[in-house]
Amino acid sequence: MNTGVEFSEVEVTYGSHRVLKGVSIDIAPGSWHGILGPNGAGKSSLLKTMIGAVPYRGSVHVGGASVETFSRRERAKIVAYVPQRPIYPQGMAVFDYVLLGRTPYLGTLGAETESDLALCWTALADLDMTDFAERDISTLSGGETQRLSLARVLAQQADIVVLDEATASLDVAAQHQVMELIDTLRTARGMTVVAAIHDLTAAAQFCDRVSLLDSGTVVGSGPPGEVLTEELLGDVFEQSIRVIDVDGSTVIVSLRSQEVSK
Amino acid sequence: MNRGRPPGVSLRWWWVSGAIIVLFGAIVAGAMVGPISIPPGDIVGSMLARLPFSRFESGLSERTEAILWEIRFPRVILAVLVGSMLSAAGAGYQGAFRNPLADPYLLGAGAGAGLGATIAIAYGPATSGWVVDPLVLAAFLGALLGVGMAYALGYSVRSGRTALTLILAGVAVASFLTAIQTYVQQRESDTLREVYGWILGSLNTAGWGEVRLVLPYVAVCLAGIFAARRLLDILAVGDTEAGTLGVAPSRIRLGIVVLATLGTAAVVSVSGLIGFVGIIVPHFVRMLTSVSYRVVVPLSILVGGAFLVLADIVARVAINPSEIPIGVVTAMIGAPFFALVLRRSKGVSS
Repeated sequence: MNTGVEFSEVEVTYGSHRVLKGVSIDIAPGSWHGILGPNGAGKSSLLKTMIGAVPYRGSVHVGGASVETFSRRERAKIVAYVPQRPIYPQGMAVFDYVLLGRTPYLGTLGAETESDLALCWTALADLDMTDFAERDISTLSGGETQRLSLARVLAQQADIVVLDEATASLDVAAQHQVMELIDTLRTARGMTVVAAIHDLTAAAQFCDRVSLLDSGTVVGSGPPGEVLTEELLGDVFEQSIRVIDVDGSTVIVSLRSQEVSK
Repeated sequence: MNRGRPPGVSLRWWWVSGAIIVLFGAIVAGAMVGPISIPPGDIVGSMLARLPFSRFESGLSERTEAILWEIRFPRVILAVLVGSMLSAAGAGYQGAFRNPLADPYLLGAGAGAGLGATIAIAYGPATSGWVVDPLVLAAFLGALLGVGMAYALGYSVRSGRTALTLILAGVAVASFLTAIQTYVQQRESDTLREVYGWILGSLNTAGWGEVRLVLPYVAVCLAGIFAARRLLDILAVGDTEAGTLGVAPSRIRLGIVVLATLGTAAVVSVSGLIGFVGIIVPHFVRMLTSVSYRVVVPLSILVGGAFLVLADIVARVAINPSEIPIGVVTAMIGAPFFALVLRRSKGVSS
């Protein structure tokens, strides 16, 4: 099933600081939508409105209904979330972590059924992690833990996956593999991916559409080729930025500032 | 595709049966030890004889039977209840606060009970016709007051509130209550010895009355923590993520704290402050089995009961014919253990 997301005039305020100042974004079902912008632009806050982790004004609709109308459990069946630095409890087995994804489908004091276990085995197999099932998750590498988080997301069977800079701590190769994996799973399962991404090149290469945030407002939204221009990025990041085409792939780099004006 | 059951969260039958055997062994050993030693075979025989529809005859004399059932067993059973409750409460707190060193005593339960007991000893009636011993009642109310204050203080912090805030609030409340208790103790210095004896913990006045008094609380609180064991595992990934998995972390935490505190207050009121049990037992279980609360909670209940019975045996026989307070025994084992846990948990900050 495909489910889209609709942010409308979303405002988030921490104390007296307005972090989001009326953000409106439409995210098409089954698409990969990148949320970009400098640190403090409000990317994480925007994502957190979808999971009920911050109070907001305006409306956030998921699959046509306001997220506030869902119970936690109902919402968890629709929206899965991977934070920037997930806590991987020391000593917990890989399989048991994936099993947490089944939580919304169990009664408060209930236990997993055989079919829940089977779904988790399938999720591990999809991420090529079957052999890791009994491993202590604190022994996994950075890339492996990201795959583990994705396995948990698959076990959760949510239509929408929210990734808050989930690949930020990975090396170039691991990041690329995880992004490819997300894309494959998204296509196979028809999931909508909403991801805050720091790496502009990765965003340009993987996202269907992107929204560029600056100080709590949307300054550009659309296909990466239209939004990620040298001029706009230069304004937002206050940096000299070059958008280069390398064999059909977009590469976005910032230049070391010399005494040259841009 | 199903390759079997989950590795860490499944309670293996041999763990449970092992723990039950150890508990039963401890109960028999606890009943054996005393000025008159009773052979284990006779103890088991006497237990079997009391089963309904049993055709077994107890081989013990009437006097020994009375010693066994009116003196030894109440004490042993109370030790089981206190040990199980403190262990399950410790496990519950550790899960609820994602802190391996958390314990109900840390939130002011111990200090509150100590204050209540001191007031009862210093100012209470020497003898009373009350249904409930005023000392027990005062300790119980004091424990609830301590945790209540810690909770109120912790939740009055509006910004930057974390699980750690509550623990710091507990430390502040505990220091405050201990200060008042010390003041009362100094003013009424003739009661010093009695107060001191209570604070160090003891099971030597135990009778079936104490068992009956704490049993309902212990049964309800243990059942509640046991039922919530899977939820404790979910809290391990942090509040934000747990929230996105469809549970309400603050509600789970409150429920666990209420159950663990109520149970602790009940057992502390009859046993005095027996420290470290809630840290030693759950960690011992984790080292041998799994970190999952689905394993740690049930095994801590069984092992905790056995542990306190064994500690009580040491308390009774170490300087025979007099007794050392059981709180001293658990502290002597617990303090080094605490240090070990502290060292092991270094670097897993979160």
